Amino acid sequence: MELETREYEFSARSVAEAIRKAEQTLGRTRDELDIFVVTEGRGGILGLGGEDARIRVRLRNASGLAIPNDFDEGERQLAIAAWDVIHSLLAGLGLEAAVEVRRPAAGEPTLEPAPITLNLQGDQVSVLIGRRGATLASFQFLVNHLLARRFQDRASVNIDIEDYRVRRVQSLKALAMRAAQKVVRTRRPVPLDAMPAAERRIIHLTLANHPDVTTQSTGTGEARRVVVMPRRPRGHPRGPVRRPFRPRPRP
Amino acid sequence: MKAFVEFVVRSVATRPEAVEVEESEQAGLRVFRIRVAPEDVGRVIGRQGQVIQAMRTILRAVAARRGERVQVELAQEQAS
Repeated sequence: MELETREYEFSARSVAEAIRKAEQTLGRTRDELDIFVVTEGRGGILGLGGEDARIRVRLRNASGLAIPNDFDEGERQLAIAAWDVIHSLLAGLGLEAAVEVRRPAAGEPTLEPAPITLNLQGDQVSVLIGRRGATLASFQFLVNHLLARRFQDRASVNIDIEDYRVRRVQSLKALAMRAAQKVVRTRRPVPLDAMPAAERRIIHLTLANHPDVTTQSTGTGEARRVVVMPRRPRGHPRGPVRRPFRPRPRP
Repeated sequence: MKAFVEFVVRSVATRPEAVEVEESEQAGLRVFRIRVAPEDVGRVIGRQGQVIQAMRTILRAVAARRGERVQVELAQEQAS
């Protein structure tokens, strides 16, 4: 079930000439084509011993990509470039997906640190979420890693699949609230499962202003987890002091 | 899936023309053998192995759906 990604090869004395040839043959302009240089070629002496430049060309098809109106030009280009990379990766895997471009939810904690998100949709791509989003994390890393070669300013995008990250935030908030209730009821600390920093941050933020509980991360590396604790054990005047929450760079 | 490996490796390589990916399959194990120019070996691996590990994680997930296993190998060429 390979996605159709027809590639054309052109060769000429120089890369520029090969690109001109591609433009003429395919009836498209430079920015409607994805161009991949196979070899830059070498000029020989009097046409002898040289090697032609070879390029591979694919029609760019970002026409179906709806970009929100409030995106500035840089964001628009970043979204298109990211779409390009995603398209090539998915085609290589034989997967099809629709891509939605959006901004992360404003004014609330999210698992989407970059200003723009590309959300993949479709039955086939949900295999790329993985256990606790592990495969999605790898996919997002690859997209941004390959993007970094085109954008010098280390611009990055969030990748989501079937709104997994949005749903994950909701379930983390619910988890935090349930743990808080249990702490209030039992007056004992409740340790949560180990989770990555970005997810721990959601728990900390959700309970930051809770009157009866406080949160703290313990453990190291993969095993680092949040413990939800009573703010002040009753009858203990020297219990944990109530402190205002201050976000830290690495929760 | 081979096209995926080729795309990623050619994208990170400084000498994409030297990239070769060989695919073989035996008893449900699909093996991708990557050859690159010696100076590109580190780029294919990535910092702390991040690039090659990401490829493995993704390929494993896609292959698992078909009941297959995947192995990604990077041929280490001797410097000559």
